[in-house]
Amino acid sequence: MITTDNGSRIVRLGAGAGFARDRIEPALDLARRGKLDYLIFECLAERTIALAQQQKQKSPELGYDPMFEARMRAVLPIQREQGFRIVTNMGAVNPAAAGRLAKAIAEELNISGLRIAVVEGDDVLPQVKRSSTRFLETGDPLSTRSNELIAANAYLGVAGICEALEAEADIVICGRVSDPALFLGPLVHEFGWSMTDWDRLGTGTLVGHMLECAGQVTGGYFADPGYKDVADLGHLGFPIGEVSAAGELVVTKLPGTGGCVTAATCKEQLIYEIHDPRAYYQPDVIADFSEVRIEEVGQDRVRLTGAKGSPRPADLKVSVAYRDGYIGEGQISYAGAGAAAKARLAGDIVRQRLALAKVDIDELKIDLIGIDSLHGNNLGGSAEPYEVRLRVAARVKTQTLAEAVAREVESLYTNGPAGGGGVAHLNREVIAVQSVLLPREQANAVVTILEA
Amino acid sequence: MKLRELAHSRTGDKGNRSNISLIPYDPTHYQHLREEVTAERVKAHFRDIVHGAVERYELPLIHSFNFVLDEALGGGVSRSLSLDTHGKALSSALLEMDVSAPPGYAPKHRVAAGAVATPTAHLPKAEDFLLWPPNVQAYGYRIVDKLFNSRPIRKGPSPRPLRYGHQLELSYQTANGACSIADFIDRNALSGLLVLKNGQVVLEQYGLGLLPSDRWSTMSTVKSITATLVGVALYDGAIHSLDDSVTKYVPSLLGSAYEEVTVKHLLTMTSGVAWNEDYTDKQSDVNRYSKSLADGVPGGVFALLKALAREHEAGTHWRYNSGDTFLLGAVLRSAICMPVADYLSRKIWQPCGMEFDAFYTLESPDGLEIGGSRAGIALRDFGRFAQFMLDDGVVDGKRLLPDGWNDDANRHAYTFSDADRALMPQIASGALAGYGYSWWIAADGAMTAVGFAGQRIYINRAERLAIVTLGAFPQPGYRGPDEHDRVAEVVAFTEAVKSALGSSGA
Repeated sequence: MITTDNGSRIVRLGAGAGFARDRIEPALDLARRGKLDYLIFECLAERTIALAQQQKQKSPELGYDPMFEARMRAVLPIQREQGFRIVTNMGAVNPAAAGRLAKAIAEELNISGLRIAVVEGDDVLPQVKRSSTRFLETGDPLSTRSNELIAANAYLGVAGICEALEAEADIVICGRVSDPALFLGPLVHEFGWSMTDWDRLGTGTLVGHMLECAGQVTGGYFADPGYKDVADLGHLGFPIGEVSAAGELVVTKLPGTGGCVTAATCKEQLIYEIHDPRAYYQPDVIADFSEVRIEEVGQDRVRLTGAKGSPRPADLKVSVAYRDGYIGEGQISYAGAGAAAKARLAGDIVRQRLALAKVDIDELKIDLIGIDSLHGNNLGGSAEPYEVRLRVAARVKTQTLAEAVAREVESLYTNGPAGGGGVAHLNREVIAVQSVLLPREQANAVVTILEA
Repeated sequence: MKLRELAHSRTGDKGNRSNISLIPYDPTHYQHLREEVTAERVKAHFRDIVHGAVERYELPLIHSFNFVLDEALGGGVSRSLSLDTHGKALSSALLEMDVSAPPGYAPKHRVAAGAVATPTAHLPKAEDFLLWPPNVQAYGYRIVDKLFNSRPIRKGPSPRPLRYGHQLELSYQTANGACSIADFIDRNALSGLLVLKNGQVVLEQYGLGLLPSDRWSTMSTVKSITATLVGVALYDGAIHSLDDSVTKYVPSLLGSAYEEVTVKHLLTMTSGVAWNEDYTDKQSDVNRYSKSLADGVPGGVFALLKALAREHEAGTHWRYNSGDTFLLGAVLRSAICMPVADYLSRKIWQPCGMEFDAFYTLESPDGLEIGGSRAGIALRDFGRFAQFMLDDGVVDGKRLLPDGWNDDANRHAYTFSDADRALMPQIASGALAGYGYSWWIAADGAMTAVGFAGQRIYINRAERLAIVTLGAFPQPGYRGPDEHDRVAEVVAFTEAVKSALGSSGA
């Protein structure tokens, strides 16, 4: 923590990852040069947790983030030199196994005295199964999916993280907590903010919201050549949030890294994945971003002020994952004059074949990549491209049917229009994710400390 | 203009719901975007993609908007069959929306100092469309859809191949002596030349860099196509009778000079409404009409037409009037209950096996098709349309036009007088004798669609012959004192084609 000239304290939070498979080296640069108090890795999307659950079903020692080991091996030696603390949700559905692995890596690297906190309690599958709750999205009772349920994880707030930091943990490994909570937790801990100081909690939520997607606030997911140019995206720097006790946030990044932090990048990230700006629901507060002001205060330095909050909701949001059949997919390419007509003909053939073979299909999508695959015919281009790739995707009940869909595309090689090449096919199980609400008393964080 | 010129955007996803931000580059454009980019317009823009409600949230302190689109992601990231399961690319699609320019808008150099130089295509000025110099005509007529709001006329799944006969060879006489087909193209700045005889292509030539896939500006030749669509709608029963009052379909014209005008009056340019079609006078009705279209003012042309005075009793006097054809488009739109472009696609473009998507330009962003000017069509598809007319509107044995429609369309509703010839020199030069259902009737009886700067579809039903000429005739300010009459030369060429191919029945 830095103390400024006028005596106010500044906490420096670095974002080390914005999603599970994010780059590692910008996090290491932040770790080395960032003078960080905390390095935070946010790696757990809605669907990631269901995939992790499937891993855990294969082996009880799996089910944490697949890049956890690589990240820990790289960052632990730097942490020992620099002294920052790590907070992450890379524990996914098995924070305890991730904690044991971190301990083993530390011992292997001769790092001793490392305190590792494991935060659990988000797995609420038993509670949800007992309840008569309904899905928020479709309104269907959860019981309609009771046979296919894989996982139900509540979005926990900062309580477990704060408890772990109080217990002097160097690393806090969580499962499902709300993404901003990974950042809000350290701020509550450092500044001793009251859990009923709704404006402060709203401000800390803003900090987390701005930083949790890492490179998305420093010029990633932003460049539009000629309109929004961003320099050196190959060396994109990850963000640092400097937060004062009063809740003023400056977003910045390390000198010498690529990208940029501007009012424009911050505006895009402020509105990213929120709905009503006045009511951003979180486990510990309902944050209000509607009166946030954004100003550039220096090169790659943007100040955000004016976040507020109102009392936390009574219920926690729970992500429920369930099996929902399979998707079978095949692709094939056509080139030159008439490419689109050939691809259309090929699509018609596959449609006809699937009907003849009586493949029972829940939903079928036939795309011409290069013409209409993203936004359909209405918005899609009318100009004839040089090459077109046909893509047929179908949602079906079983893997066998999914393979049948892909096979019908592959058989276009010898049975379809002239010049079709480059077939690719895949099939995957569909893990659908919907949400339910759970009274907050039914999900409580449980903290365990391991020591290396 | 495209929204992309004014604002940037980012998409996020939660379940089956997408949120798209909209952030103007210039904060002073916030109010303008607030009026232009409403939740309703965004919903219409994404009508094929978004199945739920669209809600707009305003963030005035950072001059930004947040659009939340329900049921927009094909069931959500894990269930969606879409290639872009998160909907990440939806922000780019939003920025494709057409909006009007903010008051006093001047494009700024947006690239930050020290940024990399960016290759940029500069486009010709849309409002000078009828005044361009020859070098800009040759380029600009190919990219009309980049300059104006447009709506595609979709082709069907597979084009109908053209049949090709023996290559036509001929020469024709001019004041400068005998000329070849190549001379014909060079002397008249032609971009496309297609001759169809007995259902076969005997000549297909491209000039000025035109490619088969380019959609050249139709200019006013599209009037005849829109008029033909009225025939289709009549056969369909969507239009009850040509003697129906225009106000039956467009009630907002009640109380205007159009109150006693029928559909047939519009078809034959005999509305009797006062109208000045002088392209060189900036204050003429046609140029005020053009200005409204260039600015994309929703309802602007209607306001203009409603204010026109009555000059003659309807049906008694002929006057060439682009406003009347615009109204014909509005009548169609109301009668068929779908965009005119979609109807043309369904009724003619798809059945005829057109090879390329064509387009109508629009009165305003997402607005009504302009039935009477500057659509865009590829040369071969002009030919397929001509063949459709030669086949009497019958495709694969299926009739699409009323029996006898072409006879009526091809009949003089009005026969030109010497006064007309004096007033419109192109009538004499073009050997035109009269006017039918928005077709000019040539002295040899052929039905002819004629447009600005050399566009012409000549359809001689007696000889089973069609000649399409696309061109960029230089406009008055760019012509030398001794240049030949290009309209007359096209007639001379037509006569040479007729004699080279002999009479029908071969």
